[in-house]
Amino acid sequence: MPVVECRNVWKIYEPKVPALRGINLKVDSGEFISIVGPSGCGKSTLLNLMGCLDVPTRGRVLIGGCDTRKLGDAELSRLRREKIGFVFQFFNLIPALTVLENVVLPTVFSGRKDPKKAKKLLEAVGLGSKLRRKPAELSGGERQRVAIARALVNDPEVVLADEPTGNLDSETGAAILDLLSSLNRETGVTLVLITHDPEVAKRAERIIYMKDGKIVREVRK
Amino acid sequence: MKEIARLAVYNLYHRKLRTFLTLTGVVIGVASIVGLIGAAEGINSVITGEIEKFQSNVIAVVPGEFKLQFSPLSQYEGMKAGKLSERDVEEISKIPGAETVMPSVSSRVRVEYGGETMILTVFAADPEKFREIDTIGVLEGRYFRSGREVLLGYSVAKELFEKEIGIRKKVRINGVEFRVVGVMNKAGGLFRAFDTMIYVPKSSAKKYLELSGITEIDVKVEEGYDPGAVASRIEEKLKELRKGEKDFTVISPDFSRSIANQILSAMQILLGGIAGISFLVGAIGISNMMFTSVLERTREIGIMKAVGATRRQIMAIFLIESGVIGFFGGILGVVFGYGIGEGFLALRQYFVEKSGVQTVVERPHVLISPELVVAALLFSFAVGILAGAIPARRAADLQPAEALRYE
Ligand SMILES: Nc1ncnc2c1ncn2[C@@H]1O[C@H](COP(=O)(O)OP(=O)(O)OP(=O)(O)O)[C@@H](O)[C@H]1O
Ligand SMILES: [Mg+2]
Repeated sequence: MPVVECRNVWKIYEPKVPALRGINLKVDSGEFISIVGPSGCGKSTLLNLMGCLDVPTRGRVLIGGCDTRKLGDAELSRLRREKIGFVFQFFNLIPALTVLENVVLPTVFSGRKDPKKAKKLLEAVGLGSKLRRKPAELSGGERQRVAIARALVNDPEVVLADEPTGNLDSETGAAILDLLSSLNRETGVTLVLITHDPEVAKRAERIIYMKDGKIVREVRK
Repeated sequence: MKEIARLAVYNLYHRKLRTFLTLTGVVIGVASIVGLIGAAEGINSVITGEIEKFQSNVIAVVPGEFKLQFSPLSQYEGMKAGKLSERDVEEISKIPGAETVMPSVSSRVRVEYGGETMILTVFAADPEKFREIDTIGVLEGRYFRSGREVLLGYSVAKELFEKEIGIRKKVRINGVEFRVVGVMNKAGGLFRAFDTMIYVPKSSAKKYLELSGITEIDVKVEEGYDPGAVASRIEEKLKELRKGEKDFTVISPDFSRSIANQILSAMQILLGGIAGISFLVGAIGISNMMFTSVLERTREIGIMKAVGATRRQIMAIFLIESGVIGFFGGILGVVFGYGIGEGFLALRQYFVEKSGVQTVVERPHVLISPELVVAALLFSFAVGILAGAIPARRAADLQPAEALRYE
């Protein structure tokens, strides 16, 4: 069963901006997929729908075979919490909270606060010595590593990363990519990665090419 | 849930400036309402206390129909003499519960002492009855008995004349020499008028000062009788004697109190209005603060939803935040309100003293009842919660993707 499946998904923004036009996509467990395409082709929109951060105008998104159209707020929150981890281009950490608190946050919402796990993950991404810092006191690469640790803290089935290296210099970006792909290899977590960079895209097992809200080509290694 | 609450408190702590500003809005709103109402209550209790302190079982009958005026008990001067008669006294004496009935006559007279002359009010009554009815009491010397004896009000003896007047001294009243036999206690307060009067036997007033007639009848109510009921019996009787015409006024303790209450409630409505408006301003301030603070954090709400917060958890965070602000704002508001009320009363006192209008001398203090505290706390708590809930709900209802895009 695919981890995430899109069936004829459309997203039309008001007023009449068709960002996605009939997307069909299956993501299998443990896969590493990259999505590439020109700016404005609908990559972020697709990822948001896959992560239940938004709802499609038409079509369905299934998470673990479950139709998300039928779910209420509580169940959607639970999916986001338990099955999906997000990594954003602009990090999206909460500035008032420390590094450790940011990573603990998802476990707070799931009612099983787990600072030990958060600490272990932060150590794994090389931030064991900066637990008490605020996001503002970290470099871009460090912030993105915090975001990755946060995405992993509830043991998701899939990590959705929207240009995670877009705001980083190439060296730091490469390190973040290494981190993500090694996570995929070692823990088997499914990884969907949006990027502009063809070199980056090549690291994935499958590359999806998008244009004007449609998938135009798929390449499998 | 505990963690959610901690998150809320944490947010408050980490946005100190915003928290402080919002709190200030609540404090101002609550403080103004508590301060003004507390001040009004304070004035209320002073006046009621004054009225209750004296003569709670003495009824006064005066000629003329009484018109609502600010200080009912200092109106002796304006009353026309001659409308009350011996017949009235007799009839009142027959009413059950009327223990002592004392007709008296008062008038403006010239009082000379030590080369100074003052125009004062003399009050003339039967010595026995006066002693029975008087509630002020004698400070020095004794009550008057007969002949040319005079009892002085406190201010007359101690304050009005350049030289203090002691007992056994001689004063001239309308040119006739009287001997001072006593000085009254200080009545003060609403009854300050009594301190500037002098008291002589009724027979001497007639003989030496040519004062006759009756300008007031005081009735002491026997214990066990309701003064209010006796007062209305007197009123009925006098009306009957006058064939229904009412050219007199019966001043019972209830009557004085009801006049004071009318004045007080007018004042309270005014102050309540001011306080209500200031609270409205405060409430709008709170809502505005909460509104912008929640909007500012729309993106944060998006992040929390993206990592799995439910709508309810987000609402809880914001409700706890705004509730805490409302609650502590309420507490501080009550404390500051006390200060504002005291300040207001001090200012009022200053103007009263400057204008010399009023007869209340005891300085009122803010009175904050438990009901007022509870009401203020509930109100600010409710306003805080509501002001936070509306924008928080709006933000929590957004799709996370939209919230995350918010700049
Ligand atoms: N909230 C929105 N309202 C209206 N139009 C939107 C909204 N979000 C995206 N769009 C439009 O939908 C289209 C797809 O946007 P999307 O962000 O998915 O593109 P993208 O492929 O991620 O681009 P980029 O590579 O620049 O991030 C664009 O034309 C964009 O202008
Ligand atoms: Mg994008």
